[in-house]
Amino acid sequence: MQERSELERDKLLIVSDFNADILAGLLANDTNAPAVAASSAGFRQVTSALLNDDPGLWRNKKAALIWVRPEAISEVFAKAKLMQPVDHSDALREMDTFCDAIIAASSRVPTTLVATLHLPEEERGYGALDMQAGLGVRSLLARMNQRLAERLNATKGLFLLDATRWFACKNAINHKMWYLAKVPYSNDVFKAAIGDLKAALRAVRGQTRKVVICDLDDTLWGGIVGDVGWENLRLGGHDPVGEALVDFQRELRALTQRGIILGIVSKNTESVALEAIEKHPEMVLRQSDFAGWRINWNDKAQNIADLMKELNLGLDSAVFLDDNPVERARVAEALPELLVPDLPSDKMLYVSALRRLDCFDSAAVSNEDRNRAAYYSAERERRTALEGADKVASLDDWLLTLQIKVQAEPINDVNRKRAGQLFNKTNQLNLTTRRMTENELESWADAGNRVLLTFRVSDKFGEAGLTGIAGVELVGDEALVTDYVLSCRVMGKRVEEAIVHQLTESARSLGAKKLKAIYKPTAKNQPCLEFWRNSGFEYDNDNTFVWDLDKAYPKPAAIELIVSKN
Amino acid sequence: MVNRVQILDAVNIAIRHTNETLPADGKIGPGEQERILGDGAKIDSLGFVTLMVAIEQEVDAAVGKCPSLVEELADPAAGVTTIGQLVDYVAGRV
Repeated sequence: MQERSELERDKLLIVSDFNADILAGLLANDTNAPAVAASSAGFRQVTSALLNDDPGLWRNKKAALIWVRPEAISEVFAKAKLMQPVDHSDALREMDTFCDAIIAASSRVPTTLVATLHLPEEERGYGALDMQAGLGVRSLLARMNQRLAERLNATKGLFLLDATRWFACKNAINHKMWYLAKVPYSNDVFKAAIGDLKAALRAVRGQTRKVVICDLDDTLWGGIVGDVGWENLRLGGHDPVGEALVDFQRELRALTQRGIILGIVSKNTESVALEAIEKHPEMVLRQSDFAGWRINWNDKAQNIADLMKELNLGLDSAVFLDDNPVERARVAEALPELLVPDLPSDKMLYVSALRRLDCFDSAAVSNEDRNRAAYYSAERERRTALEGADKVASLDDWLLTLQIKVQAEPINDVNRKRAGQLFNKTNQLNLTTRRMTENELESWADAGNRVLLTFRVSDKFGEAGLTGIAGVELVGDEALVTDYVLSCRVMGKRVEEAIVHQLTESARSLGAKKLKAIYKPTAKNQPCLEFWRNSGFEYDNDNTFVWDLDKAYPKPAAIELIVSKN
Repeated sequence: MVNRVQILDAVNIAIRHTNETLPADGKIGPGEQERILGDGAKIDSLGFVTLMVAIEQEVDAAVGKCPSLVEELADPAAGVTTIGQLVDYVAGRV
């Protein structure tokens, strides 16, 4: 990976009660995105660092990591560790003070990451009595962590990272480095923490993989279906590999509950493979669980590219799982944006390999996420309906049959999380590709010269959910389109024009005479430029699009637009 | 008897681990002439401590024992300023 300059790196402030220089060094050398430059607030005086609003400390910081040992923020806990009798509720009061300081600090940076409190495994406390309420050290620690979660979960932009997993390595505690340099943990602990920290930062930016594309033979099931027939596949039954593959399918289905959609790319005869998917009694995943597939004898890389195009998603949002290392290497070389993790040769380890992927982490899980697989399944039905509708004369006629509804409403407590997620994840139909946290977005929309609307889309096949955000800002007597963001799920159904229609209405309500949209090119938003060039707006060579608000911008006839004030 | 090559291999592993924590312009270079103490050494005190503790762990893992290098090398009488001298020193002490 190319060396990144300090300016290109996200600035991270580490607040800890230990020497974090080793952690900062490992972070600087870590090649996974995003590139991070970390600085330490100094160590030991944690609460005072958190309450210190010196701009020099917090300026330009994209995030803060707060990682402390429990005895550093709780005298009660320190005494409990030394087996002194203590009142555990006193420790919870100390936790409240600590949480207040964290919440105050979190207002100074867009994202705050807090490590849960941890006690080294070697500390046995009271042994068998250590989880006894009111006595045990680990019992107290569990209560302190519970209080931390309860107090911090409601704070916007603040995420609690489970540190327990970071210590699941050999020699996690480095006593010698503690006494020599006040570095308590081994590099492996720090590396595990960096993995979670970066996954969280990617999640906040919306850089989450959204699609898992699976091979079939020896990946979703054991054996070659074309050779042995679906009746003889290794899947379920009293067979360790068969059981492991059923669990692997369950794990994949669980991902769909987080908003990940599934696809298939497999070298097979389509009818044979689909018959196996529908008829094998132990298949967990059925056709309806997949957003699309390419099952044929063509090159897998080309099939993946075609499938992602059909799903209107970029290759950088997909993961490809295949048992065959040769196929993996070919696909990874041809499609470098795609994530192609190694699968172990032992199928009983597939589940573990899948669980370890941190590319699916997201900053929130919304109802839209949970229902995304259903949306895509419905979209597949729409495509089938369009292909089969030989009596339909035009796209507009077909759209009329869909009964599309677009509901516009301002950003509010109910839609804020999803709006932030969409705002930061959408690349293709995105005019300016601004990136803001949900907090920043909501604050921005508060000004009187701005209108920011979210758009929910539905049709007779189902809900597509909150799939659009658009904003205008009055500058002089012109309104500028600050944001025009639409999910690829609803592209090509005249929803684009419906949103522009609403933007012209909003601009007029602000008193503007013209509405102007300035396209800012990125590597991915060419589809947005194509839309605006066909939008009917006048435009010049600088890709500035202008609409004279004396004229009404037509609302597409096939769309019912409902505008809510709140 | 402990082979010098075994010690050198362990030291090189420790250098790799330590370099993961150091900035691009402060990494410990290859070769036994690389200075780790005194004039011309690129690493700071934390880098030195990190390297010594890593060497102790790797040498211990390789040959089953290792002296406490941070304390012993702090004594100028040890006469160690380069990687090569360090390898010789450890080989003579285990």
